[in-house]
Amino acid sequence: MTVRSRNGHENVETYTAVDDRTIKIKLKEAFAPYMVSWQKTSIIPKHILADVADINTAPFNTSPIGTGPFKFANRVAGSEIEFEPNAKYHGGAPKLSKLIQKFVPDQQTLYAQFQTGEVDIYDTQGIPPLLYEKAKKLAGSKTMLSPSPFVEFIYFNCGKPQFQDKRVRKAIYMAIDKKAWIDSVYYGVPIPTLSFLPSNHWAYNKALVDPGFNPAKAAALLEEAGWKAASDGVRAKDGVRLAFTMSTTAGNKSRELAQQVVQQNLKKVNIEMTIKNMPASVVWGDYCVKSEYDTLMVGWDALLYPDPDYGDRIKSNAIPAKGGNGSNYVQYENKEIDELCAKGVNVVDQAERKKIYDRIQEILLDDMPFAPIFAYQVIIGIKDRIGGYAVNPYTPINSWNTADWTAS
Amino acid sequence: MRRFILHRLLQAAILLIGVSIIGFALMHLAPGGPLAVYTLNPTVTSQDIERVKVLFGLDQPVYVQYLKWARGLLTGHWGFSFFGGQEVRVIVLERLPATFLLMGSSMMLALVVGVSIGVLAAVRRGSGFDYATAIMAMIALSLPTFWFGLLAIFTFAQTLGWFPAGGIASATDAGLLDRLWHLVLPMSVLAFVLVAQWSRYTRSAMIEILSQDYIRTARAKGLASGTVLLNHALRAALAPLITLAGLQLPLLVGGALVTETVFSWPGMGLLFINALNTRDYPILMAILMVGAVVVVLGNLLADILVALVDPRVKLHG
Repeated sequence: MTVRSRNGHENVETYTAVDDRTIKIKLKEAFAPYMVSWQKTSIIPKHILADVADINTAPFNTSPIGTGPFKFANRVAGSEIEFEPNAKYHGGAPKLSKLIQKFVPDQQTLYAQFQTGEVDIYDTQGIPPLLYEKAKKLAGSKTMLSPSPFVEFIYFNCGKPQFQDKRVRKAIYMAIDKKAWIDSVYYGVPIPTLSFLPSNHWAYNKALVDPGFNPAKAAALLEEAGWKAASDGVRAKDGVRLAFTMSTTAGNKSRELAQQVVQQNLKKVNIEMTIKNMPASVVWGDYCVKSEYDTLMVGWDALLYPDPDYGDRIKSNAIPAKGGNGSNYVQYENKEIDELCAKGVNVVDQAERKKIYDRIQEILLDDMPFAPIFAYQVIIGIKDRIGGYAVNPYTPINSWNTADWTAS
Repeated sequence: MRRFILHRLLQAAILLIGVSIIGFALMHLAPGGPLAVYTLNPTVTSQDIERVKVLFGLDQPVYVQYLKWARGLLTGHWGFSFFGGQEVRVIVLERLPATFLLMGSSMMLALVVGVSIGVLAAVRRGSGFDYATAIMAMIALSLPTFWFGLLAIFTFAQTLGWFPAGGIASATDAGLLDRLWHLVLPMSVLAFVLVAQWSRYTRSAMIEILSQDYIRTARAKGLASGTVLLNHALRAALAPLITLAGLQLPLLVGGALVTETVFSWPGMGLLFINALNTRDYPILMAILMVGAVVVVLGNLLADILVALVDPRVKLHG
């Protein structure tokens, strides 16, 4: 069996085969996200792999079999994978006679291929927001917005002297024009959020109040915290300048524009932000994991989304820079959060859990270890001849119902 | 001649070892690494990343990693891709045909068109044709390829609908005609730049030779101007052109990074770009070494051919 995550599986006490088609799993203690750990599960065929000496070189790896609606048919290296229908699929035979997944590295080229009809569904990363208006007017096709679990943040490294006081982090949040960021850079497509969860999530705390875009209040808060403008126009306190770098993947055009918006916003409240973008293999390496950065512009989702558990990113024992296991790259530490996170995965009742996550989101908005801006929406393009395609916010892959897809 | 070749091969072996050491060291010394890709995946925890690090042998000193890699290469094991886990030799061999097709066809096209333009421009030096082709060559050499490629897609695929917008074959029909139809745009975009190089080289080589005494003698003997041009002049101009061909030979396996990306052409260039973005060291090293071998062989081949066509050149070991 391959599963989406190891998370929760170490917690299993016993597996019992109830009958030929049912397995009963007993956990040592309640772990609410466990169901999601089983998402994207694939069964590994015993009759093919049991006698293979080295699983790394098994022929199965390049000609896999599975239990889904389509069977692997052919692969053109670096170009596409072809699937043929699995007539014996448990959900009924698929309606398409062939399904091809194409790999197109350039977004402009993919858009051109979608326009000319060489591609029927523009999926995965989606149509760039810049082309959204144009795409909506394309003849013979329509667009769909698919809510994404990814939330765009400014990540503060709370270990740096500039960011140890939460008032600084909150002042920055208020100094940034989030609406301009969403509207001018992403053409209004993403949905604003005040939490690590998208606002349409069942556990999203609807009572959260946006402190809003308020440079005057931000400046007052910084004054109150002791950060006064020095002769060079940049605030400072005890010899520390309120100056920092912001990093993300170099070449991400939308983020580069957003950084300029933020830079201008912060300059107005006497904060100096320098853009320091690097290739993905650098910025998301030790620079991020070992908390060497000042701030990051990044989009992340919960470890086992759609489960709201966020402990991996906020618990004090999850800071890799301090020897912890997890993804708490902001180096955030809060006892109450630690307790709430532990309790949140231990309670199974959804209404009870909601209360816990409401409180977690409330604390995070007040402590602001990371500044939530918006949840992405993927713009999907579909040719009119394709039917049955449907977005599903509870699975990260839009090919979840390929058995229902039709083409005319 | 044999001594010359042996000597050059020995030199080449030392050179290749040097290239591999420098390449390997630079790749590993550069900040960042292949594991960063996993950070962006929320279901991968920092323990998982540590485990993968040990699994890939990335926790060992660089020289140990190099020796392991070098021993593997010499015994025919090029290692496994960090992403996808396939054997590197298989991945590279899968991609070579696509690059051969694209680069081979555009180089052939460029050779025929470029040399023809070059000869004509040299013969009609200072004419309107000479100036027009010179300007075209300047434009071709200074255009950014990605922009030119996108422009070609926009014009001939999106607007006119004459050719497909990238890819190597249609999903529904991958016959010979369909493949040629897909080849036209990327081949032309690449050939456009190569034609510029070939025509400029040919023109300058021809101009130099046409002013030589023996050409004047041949003309004075009353030989037809076509015969003089092809039998006497062009043959003498071959030497610099062969050298250029030798220099371009690595393109045949290296592919075109930008053009392959823009046209989603599944060749070596696209493989290299993807491997570079993910720091897939085994693939990068394989491409580096294949490229280095072809550079060395291409130059050696060019030197030998020049000696064969030009009796004035002597090869010394």
